[in-house]
Amino acid sequence: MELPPERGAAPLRLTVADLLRIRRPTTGAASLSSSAASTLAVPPARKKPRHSATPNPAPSPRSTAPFAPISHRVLLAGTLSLPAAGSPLTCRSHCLSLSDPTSAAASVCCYLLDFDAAAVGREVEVLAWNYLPSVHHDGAGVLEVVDWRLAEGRAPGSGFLKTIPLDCAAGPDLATHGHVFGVVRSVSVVFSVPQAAQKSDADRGDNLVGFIAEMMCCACCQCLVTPLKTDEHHKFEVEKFVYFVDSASRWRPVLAQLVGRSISVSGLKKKKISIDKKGSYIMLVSTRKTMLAWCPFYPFDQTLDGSPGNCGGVYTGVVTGIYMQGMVVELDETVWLLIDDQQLAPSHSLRVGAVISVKNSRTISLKFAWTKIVLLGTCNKTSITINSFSLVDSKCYIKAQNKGLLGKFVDSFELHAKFWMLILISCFKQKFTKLFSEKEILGSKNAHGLVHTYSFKVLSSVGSKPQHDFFMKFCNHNCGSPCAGSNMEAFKLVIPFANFTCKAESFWILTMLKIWNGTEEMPEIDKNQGFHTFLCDGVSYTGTTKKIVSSSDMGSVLVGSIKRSSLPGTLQLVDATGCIDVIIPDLPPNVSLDGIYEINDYKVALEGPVAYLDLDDVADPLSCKAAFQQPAYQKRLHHLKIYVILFHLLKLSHIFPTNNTFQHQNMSGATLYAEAVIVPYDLKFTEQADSFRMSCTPSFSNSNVSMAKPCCIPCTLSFRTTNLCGSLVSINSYGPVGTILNDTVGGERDHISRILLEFKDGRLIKYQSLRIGGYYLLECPIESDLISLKGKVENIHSYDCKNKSMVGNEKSGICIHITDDNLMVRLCGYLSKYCYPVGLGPGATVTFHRVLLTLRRELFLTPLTYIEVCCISFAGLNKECVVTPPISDCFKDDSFNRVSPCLLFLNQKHLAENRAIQFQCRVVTIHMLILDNSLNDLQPSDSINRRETINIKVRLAGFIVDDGSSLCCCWADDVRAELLLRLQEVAVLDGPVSLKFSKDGSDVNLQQTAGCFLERMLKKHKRIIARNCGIPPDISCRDLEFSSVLNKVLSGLEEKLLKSIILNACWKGTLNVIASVLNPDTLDGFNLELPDLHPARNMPNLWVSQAFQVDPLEEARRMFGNLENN
Amino acid sequence: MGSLHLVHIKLLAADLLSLTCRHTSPPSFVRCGRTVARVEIVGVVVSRDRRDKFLRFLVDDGTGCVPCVLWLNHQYLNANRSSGASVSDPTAEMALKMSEMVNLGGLLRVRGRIVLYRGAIQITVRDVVLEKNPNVEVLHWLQCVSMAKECYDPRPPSA
Repeated sequence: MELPPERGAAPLRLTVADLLRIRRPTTGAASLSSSAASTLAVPPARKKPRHSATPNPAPSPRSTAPFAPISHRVLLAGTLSLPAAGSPLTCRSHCLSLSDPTSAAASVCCYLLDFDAAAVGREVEVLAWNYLPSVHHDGAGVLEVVDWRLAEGRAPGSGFLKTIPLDCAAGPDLATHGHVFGVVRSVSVVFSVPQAAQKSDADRGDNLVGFIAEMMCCACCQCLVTPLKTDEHHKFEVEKFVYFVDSASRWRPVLAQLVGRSISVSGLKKKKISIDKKGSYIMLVSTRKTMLAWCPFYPFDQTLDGSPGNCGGVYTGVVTGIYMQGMVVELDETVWLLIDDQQLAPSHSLRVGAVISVKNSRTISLKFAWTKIVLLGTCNKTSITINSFSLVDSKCYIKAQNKGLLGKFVDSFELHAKFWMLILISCFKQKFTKLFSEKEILGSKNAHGLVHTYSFKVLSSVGSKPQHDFFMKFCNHNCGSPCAGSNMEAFKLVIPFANFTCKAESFWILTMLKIWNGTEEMPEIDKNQGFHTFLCDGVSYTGTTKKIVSSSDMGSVLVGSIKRSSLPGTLQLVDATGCIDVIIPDLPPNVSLDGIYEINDYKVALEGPVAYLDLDDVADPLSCKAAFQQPAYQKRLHHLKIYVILFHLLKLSHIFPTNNTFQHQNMSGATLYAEAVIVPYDLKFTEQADSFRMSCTPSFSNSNVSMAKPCCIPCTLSFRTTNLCGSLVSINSYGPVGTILNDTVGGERDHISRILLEFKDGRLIKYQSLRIGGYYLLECPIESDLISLKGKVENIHSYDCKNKSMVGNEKSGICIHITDDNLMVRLCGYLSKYCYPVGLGPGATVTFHRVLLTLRRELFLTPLTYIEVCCISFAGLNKECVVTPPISDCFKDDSFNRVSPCLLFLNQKHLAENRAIQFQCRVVTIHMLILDNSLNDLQPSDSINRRETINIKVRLAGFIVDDGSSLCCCWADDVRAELLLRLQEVAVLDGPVSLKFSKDGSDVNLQQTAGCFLERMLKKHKRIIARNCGIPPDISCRDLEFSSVLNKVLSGLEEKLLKSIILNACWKGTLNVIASVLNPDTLDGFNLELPDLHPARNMPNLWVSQAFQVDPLEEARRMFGNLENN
Repeated sequence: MGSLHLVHIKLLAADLLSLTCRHTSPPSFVRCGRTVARVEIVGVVVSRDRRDKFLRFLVDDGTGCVPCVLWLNHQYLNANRSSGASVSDPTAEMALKMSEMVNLGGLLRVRGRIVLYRGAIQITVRDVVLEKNPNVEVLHWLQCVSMAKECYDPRPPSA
């Protein structure tokens, strides 16, 4: 690169040929003074990167990097002329051409600010400019001229009219009578139409290239005389259309800049233009001798009609976003510009940051279901000009489109529907980009895609605009179509689920702020409990609350594929951006998991702790910008539970007793019933796309169904195992919707779900209003008492045993501690042992259905509670956790007394009375251990892998335990012994240090679990007996003796595993134990030879009936209470 | 029943460090006339010093800091035994694993023998349990108070 000239020297002169050698977006100026720089908007020179790999790196042509300034002064000079006939159509509508005076071959498309028609055909000096290389397919770039001047000053003479040359050899044909003088009102883009083969007196060729200018002309006598010489007042009242065709179409960039200015066009002929065979038009058409002149001194006519609904408005604003390949432009972050035709704007200069003027646009205020916007609608009379170029963005957004069926479908609608369609396309692309191919989403030239299929359903009631040829559309233009009066509420946002989650969080944050500021009403229960905390056992906790948001408030529909959740009655709607839990109280068993589903009518439930949340600075996820921009939202409030609730649509089929039966009777106290049919959720709405099924509580939203509520009857719904309280709300359905429903029900009669409704007393009047065959919605209460609860069981223990006699021995009071990652709750109540599922214990992930949430926010088991064990994980267990005692132990009706404060030696009285006592203790050593093989024909490895639990049996174990006051020997068998031995914890350990074994001096690291190895060991030995010959409470491996019932010698590895199990048990934490004095006869059945060692011989011997984890908080509270009372 | 020397008594650090030491061989410790030999404390690790054969650490329960030593020299003790017995003894490995639970800031439950080292009481650790529920510390305080009141402090019947 040559050295910059010295300060004060003349600027370096650049030719167009020099310009064309630049390969990156560049900006240059003839003056770099600060004042000039500010006016010319030249950014300061950027620092060079410190680590430049190459001296002249070639940037990516699609780079959005800002323009690189030339650090020294440059002056670009060239001849400005009309665009060449062969230039691209988009540039022919907007750009002029700048070429070197000496070599016309070196030319570049250029777009001028402060356009002056006088410059056409003359040499200009460009004082400030931006250059965008490689805009066109042939690699040519575009020059944006920010500031310029004529090289030789203005041409002499100041005539009324100044001619704009076309470079035609022929002069004006003054003899022709085709002459118009008037104000340019609008200019079409350059377009190409096929001309009829015969009767065409246009120039030549198969296609006519040209544009139409709409002019308001003066019909006074003076104007009939050419050339005009005076600027007498004219009245521009006669509308005329001039068709600049063929070479005259090159005037289009000039005329676009002259909209609102007066021009004179001579050399026109009135001709009949035949378009294909569709029609013909008679209009003024340019000829080879047409001359164009403008009146620089005639006042600018600003009488454009900008009233709403008319396309005469002017809007100037900054481009703040360009989406959907340039079809949608956001201006000033408030106004949306829908560009109907890509040629309406100079595509290369329509960049983010540019200031543009939109003339002859139509301003429409649209109120969609979810948002309101101001839309600038364009039509074929609109012209978009650039007022200021963008230096922060160099990307060209507008791309040539190869329109398939979807594109044609979009084009067939009016502005409002078209804008919604573009949002829909953007949302569908976000939602299904990972689930379907783009072709499946958008369709192709021959096949409909998902967007088309969906939108067809919504837009079926919206009429498409009439299709006319270009001449008809331009010359008989009427933008006063009644789109503003259309029912826009039916146009809902098909929301990406990430946006949905973000919006739900925003609702929640707003609610929290209102609660904190005292402007939001708290639920009654919260009022009773204080502001945002509640008391539990005298301790203040942060409360939780719930907010329900209706789908009508969201203004959006949920569309996605579904998958079953682990929760019964729960589905998950899934798209590529996220998933939403959907609660359907009675999910039909035949629900299909194929296809895509839509939910129109729903409630969003938000549940979480009451907490101060700061204002979120996330942009509105329901805004059109968010729909186009595809922001990556992430869940921010992890404590907030968000799910969607669906309601039922019922069709009443029977009423018991019938209305005429009870009308005349005193029905006080009687129970009234009705039978209803749950309308199936599946509605196949299109025959063409079998894989695309739509479902909802049938989508009335886009029909004209009235949602009036003439009656609202409280009732109880009984369905399968579900009992729900709710209100029956009638729906007046008319017209074809009812027919569709009937057909659907009839078609799937096998899957009809019938339910029984029970009505409360005193509702007879409303009850009489029910009619058979009517459709009703069952609205369940939002503040339901029965909830589902899912979490990991932390611990289970007996609870409130004083009252357990209330249900005999069939039920026992238990307290279950359930936790998620953050919080723990207690679930108390009486549970039948027959309802106690296998696997319910610490570490298990369990769902409790229909548990009672009281107004005091306590959770209770109910007779309706159904417990589902989702998974049992031992690997994730806290090492201090033990598995739960079996149900048989949990519900033993042996009474016991809690030893206070766990002092065993003070409770000899209880023991003497053969009563069970509860105390906390730790195992210090093991007296004896007998392990049995409980495998049958199962392969150990299979069983351990399948069940993740160890399949051996502890026939008997004697533990020496220490409660801090004394030692005693606790005997236990089966799972109780497993708990004290912590066998399940050890069993799942994978390759613990205890299993490293060396036979020949090298370590062998076992790949199997300890439990698996133990199973194999017991399969081999059938029974293994371990005895401790040491003196309690110390434990040493040297004192442990092992024997096999088959008299086989245990290997070193086997001994090591057994020792590690025993050591592990002796080094663990505290457990709760319920035990009673050992009946001496109990051990006789084991036929054991017990080690008779002092001091174990003198210890109390107890039989363990239960063992479970200690809840430190609960124990501490109880102990504190005891200390206070004593 | 009056003897407490076989059980791990639950003590606060202040009470442990103020036990009466009888200079027998080995030294014995007395609380309210009862001989105590083993103790259980709960507190936070505030110091950790890992050596080749042992790990020394300090447990702070809010009333004082108790020096603890966890021996890691089992392999040396087993060196004189037969190779088969040594190989099948997991004590050393498990003690090593136990030592890895002792980290600064961790809440531990420590059991062990009370010993005198250079004139100061310390615990020769038998086992440590890493407690993850902070409520165990409060529970331990209450248990210490309760046990002292009902068990440790009353004079033994023979006294």
